[in-house]
Amino acid sequence: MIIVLAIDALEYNLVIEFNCNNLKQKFYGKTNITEFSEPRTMVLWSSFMSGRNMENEIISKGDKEMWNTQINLGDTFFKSFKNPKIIDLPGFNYYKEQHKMERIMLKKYFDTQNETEKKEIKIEYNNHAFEHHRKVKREFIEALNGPYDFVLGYFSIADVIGHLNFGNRTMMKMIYRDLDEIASGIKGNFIVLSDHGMEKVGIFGDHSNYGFWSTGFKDLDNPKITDFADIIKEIKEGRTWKKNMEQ
Amino acid sequence: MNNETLKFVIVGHVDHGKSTLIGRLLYDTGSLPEEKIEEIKEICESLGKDIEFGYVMDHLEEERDQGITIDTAQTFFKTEKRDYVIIDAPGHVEFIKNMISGASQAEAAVLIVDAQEGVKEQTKRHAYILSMLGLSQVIVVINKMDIIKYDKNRFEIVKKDLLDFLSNINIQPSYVIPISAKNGDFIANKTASMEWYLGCTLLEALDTFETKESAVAKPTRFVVQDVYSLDKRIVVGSVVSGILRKGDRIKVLPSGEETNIKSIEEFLKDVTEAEAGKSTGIVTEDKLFIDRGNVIIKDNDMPVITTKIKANIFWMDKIPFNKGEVLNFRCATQEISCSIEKIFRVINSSTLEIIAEDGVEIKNREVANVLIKTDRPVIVENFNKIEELGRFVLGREDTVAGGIITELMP
Amino acid sequence: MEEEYGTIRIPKSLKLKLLEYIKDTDFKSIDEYIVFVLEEVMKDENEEIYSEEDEIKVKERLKALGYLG
Repeated sequence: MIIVLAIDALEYNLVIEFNCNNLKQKFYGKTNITEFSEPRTMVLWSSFMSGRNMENEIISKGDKEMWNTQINLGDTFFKSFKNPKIIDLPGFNYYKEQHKMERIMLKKYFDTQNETEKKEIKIEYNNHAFEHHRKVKREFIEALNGPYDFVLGYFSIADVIGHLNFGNRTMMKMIYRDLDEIASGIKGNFIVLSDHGMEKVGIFGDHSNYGFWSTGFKDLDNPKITDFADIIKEIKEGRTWKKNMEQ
Repeated sequence: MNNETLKFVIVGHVDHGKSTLIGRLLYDTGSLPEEKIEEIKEICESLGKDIEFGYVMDHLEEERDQGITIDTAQTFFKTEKRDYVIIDAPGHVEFIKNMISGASQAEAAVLIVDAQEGVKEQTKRHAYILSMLGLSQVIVVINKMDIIKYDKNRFEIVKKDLLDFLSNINIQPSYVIPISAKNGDFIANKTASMEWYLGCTLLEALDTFETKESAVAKPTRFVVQDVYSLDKRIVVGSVVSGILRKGDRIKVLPSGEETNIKSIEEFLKDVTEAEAGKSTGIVTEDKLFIDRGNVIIKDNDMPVITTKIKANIFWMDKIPFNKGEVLNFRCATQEISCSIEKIFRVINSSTLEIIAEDGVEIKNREVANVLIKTDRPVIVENFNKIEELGRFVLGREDTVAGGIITELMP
Repeated sequence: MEEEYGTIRIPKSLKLKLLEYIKDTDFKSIDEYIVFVLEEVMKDENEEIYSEEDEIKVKERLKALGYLG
């Protein structure tokens, strides 16, 4: 079973600061996403699973439709597996309603000028995100015991909570530690990957311009997010991935 | 039993749960910021977890990594009975130096041992330090009982091992308590986890300990600094313990001569008594020979007058001590030459390893258990009885070591 | 790691009070004590406070990232 822990907005610096040794594994570093004009979640994960830069295709759909992106199995590297299990991955089998709700509340938060309303919205927003996180956690842990040859669990909590609460160190730390605990429960080799990281803007969080990666078995140097399709295919075939130095 | 603040220290192997214990003491006595705990509780629930003390500790640990809260010199908490201070110096060297120089006086100690691991080398070393520093009020806690499933047999084995070792170095713990700092068993709260244990909790044990008697309640000792002959003959010195009053019958040591106090002289004031901690002058009825270094007592509660002193010293000079060297012994206002007749043990103050037994040399930052012989008799006390006469320094030109007296041989 | 230090002046009377205060503690100098106290005070600044400026900036960013379409 090949396992990928896909954590949205997992920030390299916080993984280190919070001593998340299970997320760090043996080899870890930053991913190179400089080829993209902005670190957009949907663009990055789509490019991840297809193995090519899909930025133009995705953003040409416009902000609303972008979130409804649906990539065919045949266009992803998942197709090389007999029985893949993918959970909540943006652009593939995203829990659309759930995440749409998040965006609606986010907009409400920024649109209102009323302090009390802002507070209430934030609480609702946070609760909504945590509830989904508990659900995905259960699904993922169950999948690890399933008959799959590839499992990918996508966790959005750090990104969703981070946007409105990144300045709350206690909350962020507990989330990172929880993700670290999830990683500690995985037996065998796995990859941790994030699309981008997060940086502080006061109490809020903005996307940083690099992602995080880690493995327990191979140093990937400074991989691009589009490299992972090949990396994972070659792990499956028992070959070692060599970084493609050509452009 | 008085209710003054009790200062104590927690020692033991670094992995045996010391910081969790401190966190638990703070947590169970409500000494942690409640808001923070509420916040952590809520997030725990959001993540689908039960509120675990571990998360609270986690947060405190983070503050500790940033050099704040727990790792500072003193941590405070209180029970209904009294206030407590945990003296927890980060480094052994500082801790020992402070204890010997009298800067931070712990009056009790909690020795922590891991139930599963049992007595380790480090445990023994820490216990040894306690004995060297004259800390006689000791509670042993056998921690991580949860990991061994609260097994009574294992507890008894570890308890016996430890008590055997401690008796060799003259420590008799007042209590041996099975605890789990992680789960909060028997630290502040009696839980149902160990029905076979009928003793008290750690806090209850601490509540029974005595704080140091205030110096005024101790036998009177007046240390003479100087004698001035003006219109009257005024003997100037400091009352290190007890209290002097006009009319008191006093005895001058080492001569042994007796007289009464005619008056107590304080500049521009009319006083009839002087308490411990005061520097003052007295005028005696009879004109006795009194000199700097003498000690005046009353009530016939005699200190020890001796030339042989067993002590623990902390060597603070770059140039090591070699057996045979003559040093200056200074205790209160007494100053006399001395030699170190025997070096029983030398210990590395940061690793607490025994460097030598029956040694010939003491180097910088080493602690040694020694036998000092002074050229003439000195008036001293056991450190645990009256600190001010139980503490001394050794010097060449400058001070090279600080020490505390552990045993007197009259 | 060598840190750079600056000089700060405090009233002499305060200095004497501090000297007396730290006598029974493990602090080796008033400097050490003052640094400790101030660091404790500053630590509360660790938790971020809300600023409208930040909010405007983040709102723009989230728009650019497609969240607020």
